[in-house]
Amino acid sequence: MILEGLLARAVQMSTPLLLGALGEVMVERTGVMNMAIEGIFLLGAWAGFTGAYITGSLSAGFLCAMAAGVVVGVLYGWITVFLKQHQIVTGVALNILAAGIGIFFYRVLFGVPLLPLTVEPLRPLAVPFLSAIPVLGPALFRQNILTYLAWGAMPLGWWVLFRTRAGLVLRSTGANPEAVDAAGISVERVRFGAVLAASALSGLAGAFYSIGYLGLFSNDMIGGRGWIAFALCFLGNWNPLGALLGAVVFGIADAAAITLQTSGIRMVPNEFLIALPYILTIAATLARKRFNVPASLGTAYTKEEK
Amino acid sequence: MESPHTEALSLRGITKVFPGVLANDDVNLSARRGEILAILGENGAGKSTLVKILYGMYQPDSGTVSVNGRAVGIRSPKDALALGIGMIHQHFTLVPVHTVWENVVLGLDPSSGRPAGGKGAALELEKLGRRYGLEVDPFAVVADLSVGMQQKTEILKALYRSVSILVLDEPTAVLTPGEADNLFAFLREFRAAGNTVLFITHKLGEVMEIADRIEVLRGGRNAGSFLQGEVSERELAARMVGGDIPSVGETLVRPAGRDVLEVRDLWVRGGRGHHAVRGVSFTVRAGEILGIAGVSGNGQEELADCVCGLARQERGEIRLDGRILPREDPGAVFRAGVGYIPADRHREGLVLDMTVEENLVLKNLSAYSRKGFLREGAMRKNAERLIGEYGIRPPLPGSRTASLSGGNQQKVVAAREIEAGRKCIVAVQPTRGLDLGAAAHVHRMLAAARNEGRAVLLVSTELSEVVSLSDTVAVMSGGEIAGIFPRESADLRTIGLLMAGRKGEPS
Repeated sequence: MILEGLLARAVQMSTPLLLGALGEVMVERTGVMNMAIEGIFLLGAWAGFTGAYITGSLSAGFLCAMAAGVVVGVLYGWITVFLKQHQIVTGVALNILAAGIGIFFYRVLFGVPLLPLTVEPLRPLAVPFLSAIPVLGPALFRQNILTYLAWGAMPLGWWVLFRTRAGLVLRSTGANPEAVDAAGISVERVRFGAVLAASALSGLAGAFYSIGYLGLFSNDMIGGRGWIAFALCFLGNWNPLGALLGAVVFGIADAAAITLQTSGIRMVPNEFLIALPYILTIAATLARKRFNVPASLGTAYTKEEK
Repeated sequence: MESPHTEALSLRGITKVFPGVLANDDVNLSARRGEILAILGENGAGKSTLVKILYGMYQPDSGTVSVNGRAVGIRSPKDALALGIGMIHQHFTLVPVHTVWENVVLGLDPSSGRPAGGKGAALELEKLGRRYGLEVDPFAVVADLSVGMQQKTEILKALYRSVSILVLDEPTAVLTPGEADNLFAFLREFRAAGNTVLFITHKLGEVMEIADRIEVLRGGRNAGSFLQGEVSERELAARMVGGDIPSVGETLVRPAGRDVLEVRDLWVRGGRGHHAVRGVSFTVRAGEILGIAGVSGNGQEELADCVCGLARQERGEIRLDGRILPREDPGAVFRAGVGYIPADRHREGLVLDMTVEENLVLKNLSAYSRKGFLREGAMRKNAERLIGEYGIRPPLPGSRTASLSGGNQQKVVAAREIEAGRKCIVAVQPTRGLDLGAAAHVHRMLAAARNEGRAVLLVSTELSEVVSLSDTVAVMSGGEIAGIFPRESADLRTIGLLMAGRKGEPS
């Protein structure tokens, strides 16, 4: 029973990591790091909760979360792609802004309630027959809609990136923006578009924590998971399927922490389990030997001028 | 029969100004179908600017471009491609980690009717390759290909878009002779199909071999238009470098003295592993400026880098005042009394975010610090003295170097290096990007150093600069010294021929 619960939870907990990492892979392939990802997760969680609480509709909540992601993406993309400012500095600034702004508007809207406000989170949808398979069935086929979508999005993302015209443009932009420019495509537009798409995905990922899973919002609910999605892009070698593999590992670690905490088993200190995903991030980053880093990653593209 | 439709391309009155530089000044140019037009000129003659305007990478300040008799506005490479204009850049615009076919279909207009998928594109590429002698494996990764194959990929990219006007910017600079022959064979084939080629070069031999017509540019202006067969190499060389002897700088105040810098049989490898400097020998005496002329990329910068300890000396020997100069140790060379004004002052000469007084002591920190603390008083005094002597504006030691004009930034570098170069000064492109007034100032600084009895090695691709400033003129071509003359007997036509890789008459 514990194993079944653990697996189901691992699949569930990998959902936001998948969405965030997929967006990050796409945008980094164009040469831009979405350094605002942690802040977008948090604002997505807040906007998703607020939208769902006010309208009473989870779908509206998820749309609000994506919109919040896009708003941050517009700001980040405008500053880094068009104004060509430093990506890390800009990202850090936006993350600090996001950390304050979510809770600020939460209090403006709802005051400081004695008990946290809640909404009904997403419900699992069992796939007929398949969910009856022992152990694996409930893990893979008794999940909520967002989890199915996230898992489906990874192979789809791989296909887009490596098998379509748009994917070729994305990859070329990161590997040699001059080539894209010479082919008559605007490097800035490609990058800005990718930032917006990645930000929407990250906003959606953040909303998973508030309305996809817990049904409430608190300002520390992301707790660095945006950065894990960010690291998964590196670990997955800028490949959606690689990121999927990494997300499963982190999903298991996250689920193990929660499962063991709630089951009362005291094999290892709780703090260790909570820290486990972060320890794994560091270890896995160190363990990788070769990276397919996009050659222009982190640098703004300026057309050749005299 | 001559009809207006045979004119594939025409540029009228093209003018383009960059800050401080008039790159193109009322340039006219036209090319017909079935014609190879060579655009010949020295570095800085405005060739590249002109074709970048044609390809939509720059916008002209005035003038019109017509394609097939119709005036067009080319705002971007996309517009150029839509008009059937393809460009082969000097530095390829390929994605090295992708395959040949992926590079070819990148950005392909979906309405072109050409397949964008791997298999379809590969078939088409093989067909094109056979037709034009440009066989490249469509599934090879570009990074694994030789430079010649990469260029073929670039050309295939253009052909895949059915261009009828192909612009090549110095296409043979990176090729072996065999690869160049293949390229020429292709260009003839392409011309025979009724297409137009614009071939940009500074090599006379290529012009004589491949061009139907030749347009010479000099200093951003038209300097003659010729049909093949109507003109000799000597005439072209003269048009390229300009007929008149440039105004002569200050004359030598006293005869040159002892040998200061002696270079013997020097060999240096360039960035791509080839021998960039091939057995060069010369001597610079006290009170002499030795100017090295030549088209860029013929080993001059590697030579200067090596003398100053920044490049590995594979063979040969460099002596300063009779003593072997330390190898690959720029600090020791500097302390031995050799100042270096590098070609790229922003990258190698200055820290733009630091102040003028900091930049002025950058290479000599030990003299301006004590126990790890900077001696600010001494730094300030040094800066005030140099600012006064070299006329650096604004005369504020604390101003940020980036806020200075290009000319004043160069004065900062020159002031520091001339101060340090007690015995010898190596100056590479010392006036690149400067306006006339600032250039004259730098020239006066170098002449003054010479007059004080120092040895000056000047490297420049501006022939007029070399000839007007130097006491002795050397020409470098293909990594070798092609000729060396006292200024009085330097003949511009001969120098022009030597620069263009032709043997001149014995001097």
